[in-house]
Amino acid sequence: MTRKHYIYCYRSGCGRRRQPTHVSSLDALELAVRNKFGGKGHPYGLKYPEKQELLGALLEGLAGARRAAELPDSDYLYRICNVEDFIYNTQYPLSLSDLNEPDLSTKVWGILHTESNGQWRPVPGGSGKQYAGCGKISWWTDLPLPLDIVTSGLKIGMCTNWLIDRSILMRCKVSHIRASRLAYVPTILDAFCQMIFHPRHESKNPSSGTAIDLSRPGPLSTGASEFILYPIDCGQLEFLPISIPSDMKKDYKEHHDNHQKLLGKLLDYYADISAS
Amino acid sequence: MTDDKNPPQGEKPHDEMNDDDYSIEGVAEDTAAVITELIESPSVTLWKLELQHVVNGGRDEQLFRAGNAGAYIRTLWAEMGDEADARAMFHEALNEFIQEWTPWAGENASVLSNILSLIGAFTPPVGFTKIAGYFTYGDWSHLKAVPHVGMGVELDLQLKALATLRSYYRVAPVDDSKAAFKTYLRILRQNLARPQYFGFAASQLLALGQIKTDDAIFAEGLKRWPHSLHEIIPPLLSPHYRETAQYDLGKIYSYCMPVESQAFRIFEEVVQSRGGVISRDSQPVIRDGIVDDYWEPEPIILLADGGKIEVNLSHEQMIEYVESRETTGVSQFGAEMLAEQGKRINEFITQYIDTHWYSGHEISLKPLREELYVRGVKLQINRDMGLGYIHFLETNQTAPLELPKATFDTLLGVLYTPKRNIHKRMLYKVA
Repeated sequence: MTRKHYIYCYRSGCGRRRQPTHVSSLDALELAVRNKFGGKGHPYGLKYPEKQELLGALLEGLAGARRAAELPDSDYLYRICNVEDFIYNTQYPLSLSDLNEPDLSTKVWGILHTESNGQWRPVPGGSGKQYAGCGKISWWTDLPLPLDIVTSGLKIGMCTNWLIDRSILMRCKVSHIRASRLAYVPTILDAFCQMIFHPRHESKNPSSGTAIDLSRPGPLSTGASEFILYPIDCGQLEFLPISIPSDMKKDYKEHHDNHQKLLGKLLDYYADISAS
Repeated sequence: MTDDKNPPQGEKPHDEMNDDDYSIEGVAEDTAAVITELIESPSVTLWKLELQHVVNGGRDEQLFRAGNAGAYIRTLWAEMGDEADARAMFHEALNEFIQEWTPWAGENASVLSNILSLIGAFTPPVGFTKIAGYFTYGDWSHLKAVPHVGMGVELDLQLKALATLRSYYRVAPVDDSKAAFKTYLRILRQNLARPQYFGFAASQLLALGQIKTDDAIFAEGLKRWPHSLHEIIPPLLSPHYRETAQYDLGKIYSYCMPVESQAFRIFEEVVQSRGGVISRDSQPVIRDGIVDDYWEPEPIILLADGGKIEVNLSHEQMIEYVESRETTGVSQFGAEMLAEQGKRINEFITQYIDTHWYSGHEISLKPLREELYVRGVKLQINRDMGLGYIHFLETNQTAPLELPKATFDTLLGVLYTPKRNIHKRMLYKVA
């Protein structure tokens, strides 16, 4: 068995104990992984259509079962994503040939960067369209990501190879999210296909999710707050193209998602919280 | 053997695994081990193996994270000790990999999409030859692929292949007699006859200075396939083409007339989708004591970056344009219909102000103006007389602006208050 498979096992046990209301759904997902996607023994390498097939309907059906999050007093929630995620899921107005550009993260990022001129910009023609990811949710944080993007990314549980050299930051006003009741506490089902997730005790009525901080040396610990958001009106979003060159990550060579040391630290983390 | 419901308790399972994360049978089958080996000891052979995985779907999760194959490769470079060495080996591996590839019509769509992504991102010399060579006897217009990220999006792989060739010639080369560039131009010209690809081909040939907006082939294609405006207009709105845009956009504007045609509607849609507005009037004029915007027929495209492009029409085109504006084909409103239209607009404005302009919320006139423009109206307000009118742009008729007093006061407050004081005024909004 591989480290990732052990991580999956520990996460499963830990998740069941901490979020018992989702056990039956977790059973169904784990059975599907074994029967249909059983090759690797865990869901951490599924393709997007497979994740959508596995989780899409389930996560959409969870709408009434998630706990509403209590939002912080900060002005914005933030998200970092790649260019494709931003372009396709906001239906950004691009020509067909630009949408079919073989390397969107170079040419189209360049266009966005020029249009943005280093400033936060609204999504053109955004009003009336909605932004969401797999299962009609997306992951956000109140940690101000633009400040030291690499460290911030690690604090929200992102591996260095997930911080793409040409990325897009998004932000949405907390006041809008609060008024539209879009923010929820992430569940173990939302994070089923994600290797890095801290399951909170539902009995303690958490007000938000908490990420795993990958930025510190030594054992892993909890990190910044994280939230699930339901589909957001793109007219309420602003974006900022951001460059993350490789030398910004040079101090974090062991923080990519296949590095044995990181996998070992994750395994230790989940083993420790499994006991509590 | 552990199962999902009973993970190992107490002692962690490290002793059951070696550092290379082999399975019990001793075969390295986990992606982590393969990628780690590449990062720690890159070689041309390992890069070619990795390219196989990328192309054949073995790295779809990584591509999902990165967005596309090119971005994924760059993440690997960033993890490697000697990035320069890693890049050199990668390029050698990619060139060999593509040399060994045989394009064909029965290619798996996902595989082809990944190959095109790699070629487009890194432009290996042999990549152009492979694609252009295939186009001498085949095409991929029957193939569609779904990107790694994005819901409900489908990529046309013929268009993606054309866009991949574009990666080699975004501008004309210094020596435009090069055989490859001539081949590219030939491919583009061939695609001028295809409705799905006319827009792309025309746009590229314009950018490369190989055709002009005056050319008959351009004008005829555009009139025949007005949806191609979605491809042709956006580059002309870019700051890079501002010098020539005035002439080219004017030509295209004239081809799209009359204003009630589908082509004109698409022209406006594309400009608006890029954050621009086609302004058909400019200076305000006072008539009978009432402020009234004076409609001037010369259209100006106002751009999101603050730029302006004057659409200079010829005298004949101007006459045609003005005549078409005066008789748009929409019949003048009868009195009853005018009242009904006015009532609907009044209701819309009331609802908009009550919903969006409240204490603590950032207030801006621009969204309201845009919403009204989309509905074909403008507002005319006379503060001194406390009167307002709804001006219908298509028919040039007006209806009275009749809002609840508090809403009208709010509107006046926003219209006539310096921007910095808007929030302060809103705190004292009349109930």
